[in-house]
Amino acid sequence: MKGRVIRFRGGQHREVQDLLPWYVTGKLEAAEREAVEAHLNVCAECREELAFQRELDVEIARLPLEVEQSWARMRRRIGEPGRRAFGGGAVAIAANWRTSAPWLLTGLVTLTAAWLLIVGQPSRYHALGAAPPPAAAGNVAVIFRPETPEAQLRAALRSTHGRLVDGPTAADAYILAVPAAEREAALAGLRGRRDIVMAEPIDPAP
Amino acid sequence: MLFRKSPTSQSAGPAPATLDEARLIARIVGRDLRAFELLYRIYHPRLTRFLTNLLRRPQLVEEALNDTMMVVWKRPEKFNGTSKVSTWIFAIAYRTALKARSRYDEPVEEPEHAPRPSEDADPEQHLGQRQVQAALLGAMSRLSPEHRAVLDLTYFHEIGYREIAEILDCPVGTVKTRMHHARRHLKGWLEGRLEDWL
Repeated sequence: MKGRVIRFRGGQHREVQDLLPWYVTGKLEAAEREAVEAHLNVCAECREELAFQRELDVEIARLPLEVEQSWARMRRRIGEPGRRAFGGGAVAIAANWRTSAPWLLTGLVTLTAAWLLIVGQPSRYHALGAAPPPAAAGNVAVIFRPETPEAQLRAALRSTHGRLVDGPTAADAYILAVPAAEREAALAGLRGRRDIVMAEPIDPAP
Repeated sequence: MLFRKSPTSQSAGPAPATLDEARLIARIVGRDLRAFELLYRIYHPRLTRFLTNLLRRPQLVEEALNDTMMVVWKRPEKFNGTSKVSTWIFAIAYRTALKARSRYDEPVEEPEHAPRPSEDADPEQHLGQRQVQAALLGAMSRLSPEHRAVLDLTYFHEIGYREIAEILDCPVGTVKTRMHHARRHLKGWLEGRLEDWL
C-alpha cells in the first residue's frame, strides 16, 4: 500500500474528519496519513477537530484491574475435567451463561464482594482514568527452570534493570516492571539464559 | 495510561508483541498452560476495559472475560494467523458480550454522576482532570454499546478502523459512521468544557 496516492472523491473534508481518530493514534497507512496531513494544511476546521481528538485520546483511559482473582477462577474452570466444553463457541457460552458459572450461584453478595476486591472500590468502574493505582503493572513475565538457584534467579532479574512486581504465580511466573525503552533488550537477555524457560512481554507497555 | 501502548508503537510494521502472541497461541494449541496464563495476563486489563465498556455490569465482566478466554483455551486452533491475535480475541469478546447483553436486556442504570465544574468544590490539584473524565464518562454512557466499542477500541486500545471492522464484524464504513456519530455526540456534550478545564 505504500506509495499509493489517496484521492478523496468529492467529500474530502468529511473523509479526512472520519480518518482523524486513527491519525491521532498513528494507525493510518502512509498514503492515508499523507492525504490527511495535506488536508490539515489547508483546513482550519479539521485542525481544530484534531486538537479536540488529541484531548479525547489522552482522556479516554482506564485503570488496570487486579488479575489474580480472575485468573484463579479461570484456573479452576480449566481444572474441572468433567465440565462440558463450550461446544458451540461464544454462542454456546452465552446460552449457558447462568448455568456455566457456578460462582454466580453463590449469590450477588459474593459477586459484589469479589468485584470490590478486584477493583478496590466500586467507583473505579466509573472513574475513567482516576488517580492511578500503586505501580504494580508489570510488562514482562518470566518463568525460570525449577532447579534455578536463588542467586542465579536474582542475577537474572537484576540484569533486566526492572523491578519484581508479582510472582511467583500459580504457573511459577514472575512479573517484572522493566523500563519501556529497555524491555526488548531485557527480553532478549532473558531468553538467552539457560535458566529461563520463557520470557514474554505483557502488552500494552507501561 | 498504564495500559496504553507506548508512543513508539506507532512505527510501521507488525509489533513484536504480535509475533509473541502468535507464538503463545501455538503453545496453547499444544496445551501449554503457562503460555495460556501469560496470554491471559496480557489480555486481562484490555478485555476488562473493553467488556466493562460494553456490559456496564461489573459483576458480569469477569465472567464474560473468562468465557472469552475459555474459547481461546478450548479452541486455539481457530486462530488461523490471517489476523492479529488481538483482533481474534476482541472479536470473541465482542460476540460474548453481545450474547450476554441479550440475556440481560433489562435497562442499565446509567451513571448520573458526571459533575458539572460549578457543582464540585474539590480543591485538589487534579480536579480539572477528574471533571473532564467524569464528563466524558457521562457522555459516553449516553452512547450505544456499539458506539462505545468503536471509541474504546480506537482511542484506548489503539486499533485501526479496518481491524475494528473485523472485530465488530461490520463494514469499514459502519465503523467510520459510528465514530463520526460518537465524536459529534461527545463534542456536543463536552462543548467548551475540555477547553475550560484543561
